[in-house]
Amino acid sequence: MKRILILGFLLFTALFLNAQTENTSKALKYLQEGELDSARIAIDSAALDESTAAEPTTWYYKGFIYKELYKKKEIENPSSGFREEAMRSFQQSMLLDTAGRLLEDNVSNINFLASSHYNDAIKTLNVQDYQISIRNFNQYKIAKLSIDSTIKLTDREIEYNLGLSTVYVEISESDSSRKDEFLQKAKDAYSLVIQLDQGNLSANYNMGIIYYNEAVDMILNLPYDVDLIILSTTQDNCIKLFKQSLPHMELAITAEPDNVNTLEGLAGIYYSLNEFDKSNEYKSKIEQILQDD
Amino acid sequence: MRRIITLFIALACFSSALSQPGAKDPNVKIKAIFLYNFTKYIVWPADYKEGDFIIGVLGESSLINELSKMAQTKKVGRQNIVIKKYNSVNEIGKCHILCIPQESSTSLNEVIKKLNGNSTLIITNKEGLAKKGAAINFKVEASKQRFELNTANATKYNLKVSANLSALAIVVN
Repeated sequence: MKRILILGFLLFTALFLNAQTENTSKALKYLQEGELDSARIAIDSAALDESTAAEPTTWYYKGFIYKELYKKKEIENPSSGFREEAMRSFQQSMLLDTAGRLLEDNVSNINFLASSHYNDAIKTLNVQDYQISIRNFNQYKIAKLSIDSTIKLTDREIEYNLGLSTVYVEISESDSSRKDEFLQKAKDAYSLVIQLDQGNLSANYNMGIIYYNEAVDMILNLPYDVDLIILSTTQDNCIKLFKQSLPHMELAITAEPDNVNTLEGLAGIYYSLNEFDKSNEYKSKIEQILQDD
Repeated sequence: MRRIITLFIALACFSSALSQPGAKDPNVKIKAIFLYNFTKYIVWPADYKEGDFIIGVLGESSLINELSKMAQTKKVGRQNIVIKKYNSVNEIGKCHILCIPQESSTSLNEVIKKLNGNSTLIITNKEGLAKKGAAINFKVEASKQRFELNTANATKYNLKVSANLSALAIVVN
């Protein structure tokens, strides 16, 4: 299959033979023989050569060779240098290809690489590798926008940021020295989702939970002998946090009125605000839902 | 065209980290902190400064668990803190503090009769009870837990209240 693809590629190159110089020809010959390292050296020289550096085909070939190197040697590497070089080359080819003769092929290859960046962003979306994930997601977005500056990536942005904020919350819970820093990052990621989709259930619920838990932890972490003046200030700060939590939970319950998790959240917030009647209303609703089930 | 992996963890992130009332109850912790502070601002007669420092709770209350946690780590002066749950007024014995949860508020008059001649700080949780015999009554103002202090009711039980506590309280006379 791979051999057929490369042969197809070589047939395609026949259309542009007039633009090839010695280095380009060598690169294509090496590619045909499966000698990717030699093909790379030759195409790098062609890309530096004044006579071929301005040719869109040179950069297209370079992109193709680097893409093959990525697939053969670094497909499991989410920070592949070959992939970056391939992407840069296809983009350079597009830039030089004012006639648009290579447009479809460049777009197809950039799309392939963009998808691989997105897949790597998802695979590395965990506590250890989240920075690699973010880099890949940004590269995915840049790649998609490079082929269509009007493309809307809203759904992907929402999906990705919901996952990313979960990772941030996880880090904040496992590393107390970085708790505040990562809770803020989580809030920023959820805010971005809410900006894109105001009524997003998951983002609003989790944002509400973050504020609620911050307030509860603030109180629970106080020593019993804390000065009453500090207790008073802490209570004021907590009330602010509970009130910040509330609109998010209310948006979440609007999105899904019978969601027991959200109803529990609202009952908890009103209880903590000493508004017991409202808290009990939500508790009754939960009981009703559970009975109906 | 390469397939894109779908991110399905987004909705799975529906956190269950919400601290549920009762399990982690901030209101109860606040009351426990108030209670411990009261022991710093109120002076009991000499014969109450020996033995255990007893905090009684009349009836069921989530406060009992929180106070028991507090008793494991804190002392009042050199006195160990002991938490006692009284199921009825008849069970009430000598104690330094008696907490009457809202649900047991109707027993206040009976409690007052029972504790006559003792030095017990009576703490209630219902509007108006500071004027009906309690020395301290918890009150919510603009979502905030505060407390009313009736110094005259404390004095009746030979308790001396520091002026610093009065400064932090809603004073009721």
